[in-house]
Amino acid sequence: MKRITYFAMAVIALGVAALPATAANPTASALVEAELVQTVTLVKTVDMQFGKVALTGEGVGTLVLGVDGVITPTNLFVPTTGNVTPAAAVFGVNGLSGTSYTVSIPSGTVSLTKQGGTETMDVSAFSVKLASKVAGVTTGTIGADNSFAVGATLTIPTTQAEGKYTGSFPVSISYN
Amino acid sequence: MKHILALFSLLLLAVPGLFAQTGVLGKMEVELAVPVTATETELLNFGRIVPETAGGTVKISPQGERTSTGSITLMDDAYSAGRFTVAGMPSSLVSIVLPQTPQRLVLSSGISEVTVDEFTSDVPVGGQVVRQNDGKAEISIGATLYIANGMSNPAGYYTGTYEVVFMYN
Repeated sequence: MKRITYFAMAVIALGVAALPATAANPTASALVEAELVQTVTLVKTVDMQFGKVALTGEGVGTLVLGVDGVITPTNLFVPTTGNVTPAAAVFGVNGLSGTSYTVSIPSGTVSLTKQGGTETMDVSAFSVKLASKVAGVTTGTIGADNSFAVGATLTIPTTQAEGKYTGSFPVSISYN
Repeated sequence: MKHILALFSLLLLAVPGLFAQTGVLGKMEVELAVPVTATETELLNFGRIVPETAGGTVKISPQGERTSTGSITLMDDAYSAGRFTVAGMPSSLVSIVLPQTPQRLVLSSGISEVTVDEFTSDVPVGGQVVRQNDGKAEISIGATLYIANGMSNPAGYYTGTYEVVFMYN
């Protein structure tokens, strides 16, 4: 027993001794640089834009904004003139090619607040599409999936006050 | 020494599990425009009519002109096209849907009725423009009244309602 213990301790001592030696070596500096390259960055490139709509008076309005930026209105009128083009949100992912990452989008409801007011509207049913994947797949690879789009559904109650509404939603990616 | 050994192996296990995360906020925007609303400012009123022996029709144009056919005598009394003030997005176009089937006007006693059909409006093809300055527009509606002779349609006050749908075009 005693012999085995000594042997194990000797191995450990070697390992500890080797570590500072590596750190002091110029090659180790290169290693640190390689780690910096692996840093993954996430940037927002396009804001989510629902455009301009008006309630038709037929009931609660819903505006589904697809990951392709196409809107599907229900009980809403979408003006063709004086409107802005709807757009799904787009995010860019950069880092070492081949790095796998997973996108997290809100699973519940996010509020939009009227500019200069306190009225709110709910945005829910967030959806995601990675560049090379079919919609709904949340795990991608840098190189093939350097961007992803996010859509959502806006619900407009029948008595909602008119005006411009804005808000924000959190998006994050996790990676190894 | 045993203590240090335990710590070291713990660190080794933790390294492959290291997991990084980064997040940003996406912005969202929508503009909710005013819905179309309408207020009736003038009743569609055929006025005072004497059907005489055969009855006939009384037509009111959206411009408020009244004409008749058959044996009807039009009395010199107030009559008007239906008139609505519409409110909506400035410079937008509003169209309307008029009744496509005869609407009934019932005598106050309930024993007799006449019908109103062929509703028309002054809304141009493509819609009525909502004014830029006050966000409003006026829309007028005409129709044709069908009335039988005085026996079938006794004298009295006939009233009814009709539904008009206003919407953005």
